[in-house]
Order: sequence, then structure tokens, then C-alpha cells
Amino acid sequence: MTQVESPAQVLRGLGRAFAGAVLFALPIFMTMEVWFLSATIPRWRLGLLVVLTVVLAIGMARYVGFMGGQRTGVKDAVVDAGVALLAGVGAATLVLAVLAVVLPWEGWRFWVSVVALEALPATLGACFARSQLGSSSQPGEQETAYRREVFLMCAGATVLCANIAPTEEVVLIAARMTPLHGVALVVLELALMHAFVHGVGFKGGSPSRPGFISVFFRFTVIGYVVATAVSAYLLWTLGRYDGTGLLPALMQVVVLALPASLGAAAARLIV
Amino acid sequence: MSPDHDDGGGGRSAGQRLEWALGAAGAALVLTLLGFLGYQGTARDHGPRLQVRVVDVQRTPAGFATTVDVLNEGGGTARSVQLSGEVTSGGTTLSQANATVPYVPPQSHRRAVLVFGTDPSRGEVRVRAVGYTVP
Repeated sequence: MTQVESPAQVLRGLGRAFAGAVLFALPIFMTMEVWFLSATIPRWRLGLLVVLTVVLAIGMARYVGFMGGQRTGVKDAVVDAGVALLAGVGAATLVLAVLAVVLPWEGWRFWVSVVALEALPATLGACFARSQLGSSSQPGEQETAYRREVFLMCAGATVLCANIAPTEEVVLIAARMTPLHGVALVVLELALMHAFVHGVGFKGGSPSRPGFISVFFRFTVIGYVVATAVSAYLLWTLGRYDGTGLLPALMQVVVLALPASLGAAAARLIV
Repeated sequence: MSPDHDDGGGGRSAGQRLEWALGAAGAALVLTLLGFLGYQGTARDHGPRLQVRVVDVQRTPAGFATTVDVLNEGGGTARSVQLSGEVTSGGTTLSQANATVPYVPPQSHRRAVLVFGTDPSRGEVRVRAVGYTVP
């Protein structure tokens, strides 16, 4: 808690966060559908997305930890989340301005909308990059460790999912697939996820390897449900369910769960 | 993670029991999803069935903006749905308008607006889907 950082260290941390934001959110920066969607989705859904972005950033700071070791207090977490948000919004604005997508001084409404939508993966990318700076994982007690794992899976799912959710391809792929393709996709997603989770093992964990079934139920299945929930939420935010029947809506969720579940499983590789 | 992992049932902490309970609930959700998709895969009828109805007419500077609801009651998605509408009175066509809807998923509806040059209430308005592609 009492660790003091020099201005140079703080700047280095900010630079790293900025680089992470650009790296993790570049696909969405260069996706055309975002421009259209951000202008049309209901404002309160966009507002909710921004609130959840802040909550996720604080959670990342709290569970994963940032600069200089044992900074896990709520206040520190909020400060770290603020830096990540700044980097995320700054990266989105800079890249979008250079790409001539938005010019902040003309049409600020459009600028705010696009950046609000793209801040989610950018901020989380900044968090992921910053988590590499300090000694990250606090082993802690088991319950905290499990909650941390589930939270990490949620954050990983969100980053990958948010980059793909706005694309029209999700809708088109879901339309091309029959429900039986959907069944096959769910099985594939679970298998890929389990391969990641079981193959990677547990960083900072005990030397004893938990069994197959234990890992499957406690991590793979939970991770898959979290990933599916993230993809369902993002599709709802983007208005993909409006006027849409249950089956096509579910098929979209299953399609978007592919990047979400891979992101969830791979998040533990990154941090 | 704690060293006391095993695959069996009993002798765990409350936290671990909660983890297993969550895992079981998650598994139930995934099985429900698989069951629903599997059931739909066998029970579903294929091919889109489109139906268009007029829901609203607004007078705008561009003309009479006629909002239509395109409903797909079939089992497949229709892409690039082309709508063609005309206002007729006593066998003569007073005005024509077209619109394209990007896609209409099965059991879903989408809105489109056709802009007529004459007031649809002066005659009979008929809008129908004249073509679409199957993804």
C-alpha cells in the first residue's frame, strides 16, 4: 500500500496501458458496423455498457492487481481503473481520429457514441497490459482465488467478444447455421475451452493437478456459462434481439460464444 | 488452488461445495441449451415465409412515409428482402415505392418504410415481398 512510484514509472504504466488498449481493441477500431450501431442503439443501453466497463476495470485492478505489488485497496483499484479508462478512451479517440472515422471537434455526439462502445475492449486491453507490470497474483485464500479465476474468465470473454459482437458476420453465420450446427458448435466450444483450461493448468496454484471432472465442472462449465452470458449481454446491448425470435437470437449467442469462450479460457494465459 | 482436490463427492469445504453446485447449475443450463437446439433441429420447418402489413402512414416532406412490418413465419432467414408497394385506385396505379430489408430471421419481424408520392388513403395500398436471397 505504501509503495511510492516515480513519475517515470507512472508514465511507463500509462504508456503500457495505451499500447494494450490499441492492441486489444484494434479489430473493433477498424470495424465499420460500430459507427452505425453506436449511433442507433438506445442511449440507456450504451450508458449501461459504460457503467459495466468501469465496474470491470475496477474488478481487474482489484483481482489481478497492477503496479508495484500489493495495491489491492478499493481506492487503489479505482485509481488504477481510472488510468486504464483514460488509456482506453485516449487510444480509441486517437486511432479513430487518425483513421478519419471521427473528428472530435465536429459532431461530438458521434464521437462520444463510438468511443463509448469501443471503450470496453480498449479499457480491458489496457488492464491486461498493465497487469503485466507488477507482481500480479495474490494467492490469498481459496474462495478469493476461485472468484478471481471466474472474474478473469469474464474479462477475457469480454475482450474477445466485444471485438466481434458488432460485426454483421455474427448475424449472417447464425442465419446460415441449422440448430444442429448449433449443437455441434456448443460441443466444440466446450471442448476447446476445456483443452485450454486443463492444458494450461493453474498458474500460481498447487502442484497437485485437479482431476478432469473437477476442472470440467468447476472451471470449464462455469467459464462457458459466463462466456455465453457475456455474449448474450453484448448482443442485447447492440439490439440484435429486437424483433427477433428465440431460436435465431440463441443461435447468435452460440456463434458469439466461440470467441467469448476462447477469450475466457485464454485470459489465464495472458495474466 | 488448494491442494485438497479430488474427483469424488464428500469431505469438502463449504466453498468447494458451492463451486460444485455452481458447476452443476451451469451444466444444467448448457444441457437445456443443447436440448432446445437439438429439438429445434428436428422439429423445424425450412424456408422463409414472409408476410407484409402496413402499420403507419406519416406525411413527410419527401412524401407519404408508409411504415410496414415484414414478418417471417417460416423456419429460415430471408436476406435482401425486396419490398414493392403501390397505391391503386379503381385499377390505376397512382404511386409506386420500393424498399430493401437486409435480413429477416425466422419467427422475427423487421420494419421498413416506403415513401409514396400520393396519399395511400386516397386508394388501396398493397405492399409485398417480391424477392429475397437465402443465406
